[in-house]
Amino acid sequence: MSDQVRHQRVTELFAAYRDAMPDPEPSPDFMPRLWEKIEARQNQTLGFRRMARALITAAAAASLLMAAWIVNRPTESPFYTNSYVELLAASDNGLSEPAIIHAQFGR
Amino acid sequence: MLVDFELIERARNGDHAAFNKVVQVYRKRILGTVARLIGRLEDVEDVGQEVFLRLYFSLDQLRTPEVFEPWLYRLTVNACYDHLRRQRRRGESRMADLTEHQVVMADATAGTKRQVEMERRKRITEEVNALLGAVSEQDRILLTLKEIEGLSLKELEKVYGVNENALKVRLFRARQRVLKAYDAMTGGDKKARRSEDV
Repeated sequence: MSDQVRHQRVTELFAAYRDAMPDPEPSPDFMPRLWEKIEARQNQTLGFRRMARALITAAAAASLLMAAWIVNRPTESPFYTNSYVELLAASDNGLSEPAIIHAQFGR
Repeated sequence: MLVDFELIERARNGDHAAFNKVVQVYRKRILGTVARLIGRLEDVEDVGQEVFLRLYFSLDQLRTPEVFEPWLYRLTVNACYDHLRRQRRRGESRMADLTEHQVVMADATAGTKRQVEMERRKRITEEVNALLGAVSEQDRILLTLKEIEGLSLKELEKVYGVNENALKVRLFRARQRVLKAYDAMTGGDKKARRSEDV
């Protein structure tokens, strides 16, 4: 079979296919179903937006709370804040830890 | 253009009635194109609706109403391409489903003449589906648009966003691959040569 004949046959087959597959009529519920899908997609997008907004608000609130806690946090025990040398010096003087605390902070 | 630029402009600005009108004007043509591109009548409406759904949500990206039609074709091509890829992943048989559908249609047909016509259509549809099913989705869509839908090279340029020469090369290669599939389907050259020898 020559190339030309094969090309021609394929072209004819495509043309016959075009005739065999005319434009189908849309069903009566084409438009209502389309709008249902559009609304569903819109609701989905809206849901995502709401979720994102809620997450942003929660993150902002958490940041504020953390900032407030850092500013107003209670003073830590000198046992954790004093240096090793300071504690060593205090113990050499025969003072116990509560005594150091008392000496430094008057508690 | 089947609609005025003004109608598209109105649809773009969120006018639902204008959008409805645009869909009503183009839906039959789009459904026809989808049917020929995917070759599965039972999925045509779903894919067609997907096209208009994408149209609705991307209308604001349309630069000028003048390019509306090629742009709508591009949405159609993309939706069909996605559908064909999904279908291939699922490993469904287009042929079998189509045959079943056609058989049901044929059974419902009362007249013999109509039955004969249905049989002829069924055979052609099966043949073309087998032929286009043997090549990639890209080749299938490109050839369908050019050879079956009858789009010109200029129109295809706008749909694909590539120049004419690149399209010609793609078309030539796609055509060669289809010819190879045609040979495989019909027994092609070998049979012909054998018969010539005899």
